[in-house]
Parts: sequence; C-alpha cells; structure tokens
Amino acid sequence: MRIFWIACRLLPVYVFLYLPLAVLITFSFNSSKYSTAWKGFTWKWYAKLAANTQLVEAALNSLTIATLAASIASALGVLLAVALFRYRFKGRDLMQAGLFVLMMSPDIVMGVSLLLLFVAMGLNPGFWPLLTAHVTFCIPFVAATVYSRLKGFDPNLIEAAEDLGAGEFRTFRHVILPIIMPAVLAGWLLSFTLSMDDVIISFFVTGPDFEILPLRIFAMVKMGVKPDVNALSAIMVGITVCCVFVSHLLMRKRK
Amino acid sequence: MTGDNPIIRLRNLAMRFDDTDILEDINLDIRNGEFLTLLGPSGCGKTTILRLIAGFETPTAGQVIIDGKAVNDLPANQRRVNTVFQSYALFPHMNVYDNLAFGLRMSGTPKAEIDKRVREALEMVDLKNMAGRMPARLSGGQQQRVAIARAVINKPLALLLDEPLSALDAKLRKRMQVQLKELCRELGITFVFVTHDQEEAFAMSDRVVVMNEGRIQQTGKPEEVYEEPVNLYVAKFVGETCILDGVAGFKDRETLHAMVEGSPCKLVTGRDFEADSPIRVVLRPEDIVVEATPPEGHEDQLWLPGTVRDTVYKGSTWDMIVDLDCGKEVLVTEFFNEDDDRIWQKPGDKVVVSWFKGWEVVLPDEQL
Amino acid sequence: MSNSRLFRRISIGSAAVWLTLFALAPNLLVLSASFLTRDEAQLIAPLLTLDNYKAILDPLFMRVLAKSLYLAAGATLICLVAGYPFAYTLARMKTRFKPLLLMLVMIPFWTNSLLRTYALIFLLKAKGLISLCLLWLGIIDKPVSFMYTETAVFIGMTYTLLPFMILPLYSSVEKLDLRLLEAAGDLGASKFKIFRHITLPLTMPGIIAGCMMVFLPALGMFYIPDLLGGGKNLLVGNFIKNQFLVSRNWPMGAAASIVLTLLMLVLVWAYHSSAKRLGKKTEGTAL
Repeated sequence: MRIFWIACRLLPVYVFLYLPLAVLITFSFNSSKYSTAWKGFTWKWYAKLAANTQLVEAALNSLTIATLAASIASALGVLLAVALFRYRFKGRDLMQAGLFVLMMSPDIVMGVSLLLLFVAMGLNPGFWPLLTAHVTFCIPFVAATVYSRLKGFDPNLIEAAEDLGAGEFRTFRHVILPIIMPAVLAGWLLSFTLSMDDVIISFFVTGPDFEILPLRIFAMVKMGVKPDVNALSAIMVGITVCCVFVSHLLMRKRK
Repeated sequence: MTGDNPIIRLRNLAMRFDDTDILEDINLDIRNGEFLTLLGPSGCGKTTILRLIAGFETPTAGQVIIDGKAVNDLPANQRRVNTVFQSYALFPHMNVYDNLAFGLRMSGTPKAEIDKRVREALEMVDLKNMAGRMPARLSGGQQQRVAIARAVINKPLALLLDEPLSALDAKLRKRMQVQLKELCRELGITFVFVTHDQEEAFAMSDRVVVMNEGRIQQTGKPEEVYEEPVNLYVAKFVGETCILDGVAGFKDRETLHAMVEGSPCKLVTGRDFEADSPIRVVLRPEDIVVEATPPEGHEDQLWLPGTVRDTVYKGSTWDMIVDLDCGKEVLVTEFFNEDDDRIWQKPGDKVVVSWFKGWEVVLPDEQL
Repeated sequence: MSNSRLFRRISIGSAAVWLTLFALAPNLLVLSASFLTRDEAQLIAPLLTLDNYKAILDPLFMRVLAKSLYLAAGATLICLVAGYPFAYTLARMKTRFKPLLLMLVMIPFWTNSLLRTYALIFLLKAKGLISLCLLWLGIIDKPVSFMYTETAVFIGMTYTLLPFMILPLYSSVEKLDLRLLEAAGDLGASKFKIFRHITLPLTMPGIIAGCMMVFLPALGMFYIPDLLGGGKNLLVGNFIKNQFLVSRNWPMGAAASIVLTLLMLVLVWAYHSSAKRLGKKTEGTAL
C-alpha cells in the first residue's frame, strides 16, 4: 500500500520528464519523414547525419570548445576553491558572494554583458570569445563542487603536510590534489556538459565563422520537426546520460 | 646539550582573534628533552600555544624562539618541530610507508636512507607488517602510532602532541601514556603535550603548565602543582578539593592565626596575609581526618562537626562524603587497610572532621 | 618560502583576474551602457541619459515585463507544487534504488534544454501524442494543436525547469533531521502541524533556491517562446535579445538586463538571509 502511494507521487513526474525524450528517440528510428505514425525501423537518419558536413563540423567545434573550456575552468576553479578554503585574504567573502551571484546569474544577462565586453575589446564573435565565455560560466560550478569536497576533509591534513616540510605548492600537489581528484573530475564533466548544452550565452558571443552544435540545432529546430534532428538529439541525450553516470560514480566514491 | 637548556622559549606571546584575547602574556621556557604538558579546560589557549610553536598561527605579539632563533616569520614547513594531531591527520591516499616517508622525501633525503629510517620507525612503533596498509584499514591505536612515527622520523627538536590520546578507549590510553613517556626518554626529544585530563598530565609529565583563559596559571612538577597550587583556580582544576572560608588574623612565623568557618584555628602557611583579609583553606580528600569525637592530644585543632551522607568503597580506597554543619560538603579518601580495626562510619553518623596538620593550603580569597 | 608565497599568489590571483575581467567588467559595461544613448552607426553614443530607464517604465516594456513575470512565476509555482511532494518522497525513501532514482532526475537536469523543448513539440503539435490520446479517448473529434499558445509556453518552462526545482528541494529535505519530526510528533503535533511548523521552515532554503533556479532562467529562456510560443515577444529574455540583435538598441537592452540583474540580486539576498537564519552557508547548495 505504501509502495502504491510512493509510486503515485513519483511516477507522474518521471513520466512527464521522460515521455517526450522517449518519443523523440523512438521517432529518430522512424523511417517515415513527416508522419507521426510508425512506418518501420531505420538507421538512415543517423547515416544522413554523418553525411551532413556542416553539422559534423559544428559538433567537432562544440567538442573542442567543451573540452578546452572544461579543462581551463577546472584548473581555475580548483585553484579558486583551494584558495578560498585554505587562505584568509582580503576580499575572500566578496569573491565567494561573487561566485554565487555568477552561478545564479541568468544566462541572458551574462550573454549580453560578454557581448558588450568583446565589442568594447574589438574582438569579433568567434572561437576566443566563445571559449572565454564558456570558461567563465563553468568556473563557479567547478569551484562549488571542489569546495564542498574540501569542506568534507580534515583541515589538519594540510597542516600535517606543511608540518612535515612541504611548501604550499607541494602540499597542494601531493596532498590536496589527490584527495579532491574525484571532485575535480566531476567538476570537469559538469563543465563539459554545461558547455555542450549552452545556447543562450553562445548565441551572443559566437558568429557564423565558428558554429557550434547547440546553435546549429537551434537554427534547425526553428524549422520544425525533422528526423535528422531527432537522431542528433538522441545522440546528445545518450552522451549526457553517460556524463551523468560517470560523474555520479565519481562523487559516490567520496563516501 | 644539557637537560636545562631551553629548546623552545616563548616570550610575551599574545594572540588576538576577532577582538578576543586567546592568549595573553605567555612566557615559557621548555627544556631540552623534557616531557612538558599544557593542561587546561577546552578554550584555554593550550592548543593555540602548540600551533604557534608549530607555525600554523602567527602571534599578535611576542616571540617564539626555537633552538635560540626567533622563528616568528618561519612557516611551519621550515621549523624543526613536528606535530601529532588529535585527528592523526594521516594522508588517506597514501599507505603507512608513504605516510612515514613523506617528511623525509620533502627534505630530499636519499632513497636508501628513507627506506632504512622508515623500517626503523615501523619497528619502533611495532607496525612492521603494516607498511602497505592504507590508514583507513588501521585501528585507532595503530593510526595513532603511525602518526607518532611519522612525526619523530624527521628527528625534530621537539614533538608537539595535541590531545593525541583523546580518541582512544581508557585501557589503550593508559598503555599509550606509558609508551609515550618511554619514547620521550629513549629518543631524548622534547615532548610538548596538550591535554585537558589532569590525571593524564600527571602520569606522564616532567612538568605541567596549568592554563586558564589564555594565561599560564602555574608551571611546575606535577606534585608541586597538586600540593602547592598557587591560586584557587589551579587548586580546583587539579583534583578534588574542599574549600573552607576564613579570615586572616596575625601571623607568627609559619603559623597563621585565623578564623575558619567561624572558629579560631592555627594554619601553617608560607604566605603573608593582611590582617582581616578573607582567606580560603584548600584541602584534598586525602588530607582529611574523620573521627567520631576529637581524639586526645589533638583538641587544639579545628574539628568541624558534620554528618556522614554516603560512603563509597573503591577497592584501594574508602571514600566518604560528609555534610558539615557549616553548610560545606567534604569528600574524604582513606586508604583502605584490611588490618585496620577502626570502626567505619555509616551514613547518618555524626562525626567531626579535621586535617593532617601542615597539609592544608591557604590562599587569598579570589573571585572565581 | 618565496616559492610557496608564489603559489598562493597565483592561485588567488589567477581566478581573481579572470573573474574581474570576464564577470565583473562586463556587468559594469552593461551598467554604464544602460545610461548611454543609442547610436545608429556605432550602437552606443557616449551621451549620458536616463531615457532608457524611462523607456522601461513605458507601458510597452511594462507589458512585456508583467507578462514575463506572470509566465515565470506561474511556471515556478507549478514546478514547486509538482516538485515538492516528489522531492520529499524521494528524499525520505529508504531503498537501494534511491541513487538510481536520483540519477533519473539528474539526467534531464543536465540534458540540453533546447533539445528537451524540441522534444515537447512531438507531444504538443496537431498530430502529436496529446492530441492523439484525446482523440482516442473521444474528448476531441479532430486533431488539436497546442503549439503557439501560452499553455505551450507554460508547459515548456515547467518541463525544462522542473529538475532545477527538484534537486535543491531534494537536498534540503535530505538534510532534514528526522528526529525533529519524531520529536514534534511525540510532543503531540498533527501531521499538518509538523509540516507547517517543522518541515516547511527547515526546507525553506531549498524552496527559495529551487524557486530562484526556476524563476531566473525562466525570465531569460528566449528559445521557449521562440519554439513553442510562435516567436511572440513574450519574455524579458526575448525583449533583451531583440534589443541587441534585431532593433539594435543596445542601451535599452542593457537597461532591461540591469532590471533582470536587480531582480536576481533581490532573490539571492532573500535566499541568503533565509539560509543564514538556519545557520547554513550558501555556497555549494545550488548544485
């Protein structure tokens, strides 16, 4: 009986969350182009996708940006989290508050502000502005993930390392980094996903010279339902599932 | 180096944090090779002193001098002292061997030398077979020994121990106390030990520093601190006490004529008191004598009447709680002697209470 | 020693420089742009003016703002009502499937929301799943499209943002000390009273965090009205986007963006003070 009530409260939400995705993925294998009716199984939309050089290029661009942005943001975010955790310095509270505001900041606000910055700097929309923007919105997420991991460990460990003769860098290298590694990897994955998913901020900072997947998709879906977009979406959902799964495993290890 | 050479000197140390004084005017010489304990309640600043010596904190004022050199500006990694943390702080991602080798690696010791010294240290703490174990798979006592070995392997000038026994159970704790004391003697390294447990402090230390509210109250051998507390705080903090109120009269050499709990009596004290100033008489449970009536030849002593409330048999001692008619309560400890044919008091018995002459400690009355 | 100081300087400095350059400076630029004048050729002319804020008080923008607030607040409310019982039940469950169930919420949280909006079209269009179901049930007699309606925008926002409500709620319920609820019950409180006086106040930071994470993006997600609402100028987000990219009135767009920022700061402040009252720190809770 209890199970029934629990299911009553959980199931509708899961159905609501997954039904559209399930339909989308199913239709990516539908051989009919227009109809919503099932006309048989096919791989042809995936094949068509692979032949679409524009799309493949956009996908490669996205992967490049996401990998670079996640790596740079992880490096900066880790340093930031460690500094916030370890040192008492002027402006520490301000920095912490700033990070929180940055994390909460609506994408559109960040998008237009970066657009203004790059115009003021005389940079044309494209690779560098896009990379900078992605690094910026990923930093707070990495910092928060790493910081919460740091908060869970004994601050005496840092002191013990210093006590035994390690300087600040070697303490970081030999003690802090190995311990926070799972959180760093999880932060990297989150950043990678965030970067792969971003539409709004990228919309303002990249141009036709450097097209990325989410914007290409945006252009395509504005035209309505198309089977190759379905196939593409199915692939992207699959990638996300993998990322979430891996980061979940990483974060569970902490226990 | 002789035993009296101070290896660590603290000069007028003060520490303020968020407008609160954590430490005020700390002056302390720690002798080479001694086992010194900082004793006090939590928040008294004893751990802060340890952290100042280790280099984890910087004093607001004053100096830390290690081996003759002022080290205020030297970070922890360049001070030749090592700490054993309360939480042990073993690196969870390294096995026992790597934990021990960490300090030697940081100082660039050759590999062969590291291996030799780690083996020696493992043997010393009896963990030869545990070299490959991860800290999480060690028992509390083993972790503790690893923490000690990791610190002493670097041959520090002093070992700083921050309540390292507090996480162990009572039995293991007793054993570790003995081992630590032996270790200190064997290695000839100065041990600075922090604890809030008076019994532990007395059991291990050459000298004890009693602290309260950021100040040193008394420094001395355990028996000095116990038998001759310099103030009421120390008297109360170390061991059980019964404190009687009185007013000082005139003093004749070592004898102070005074009124104690409303009756005239003679007290033995080296201190001087102004006439008519309030005083306190501090008595330990083992100082006290209980009789049914004042025995012959001792009538000139002060005998305070009271009633036995309860008696507690403790094996080696027999404890008794007596409610005095003046309103105070006394804990009495008598060493149990099977051959003693004295009749033991029962709850409800009327008794008189006094103390062995000269065992009392007379202190000026302070507001505590 | 100089080496170790160097590391400290690099670790604080690198992040500080990056954030100043790419987070603080751009926002200051927006702030200053919002006080400048529009220029046809150069986009922005260096003439100080309050016109942009006056224009914002104009009924035209106010209507957009009101509509936008209405849609975002509505979506937030729906998410809260749907998400709270769900998050509560999930967090209090004792089963080995819990990590899996939680991961099933994480997946949509991290899935591209554009794609998820797109997936909704399958359900909402004239020959979509909902329409077919209603036909089959006999409620309607010919296919009905839900596309390009306000309802579609509501559904779209709720659908894309629901996980953002559930996750903070989940973590706040999970932190809840069950003994408090037992103690309240033991003291004679009814189930409703326990909820009202214990559960609700203690999960308030989660509620506010969840509302923030739904409400703020909801104001800016211009692609939802673009795809489901027929591209009508519905949200502040669409308005800002159009000011920047279509009508090229950057100062006006900047002013609207400042309004959105202020709104965010108010909510962040509300969240912070409610969390502080419970003695918790704000950092890291958003994930």
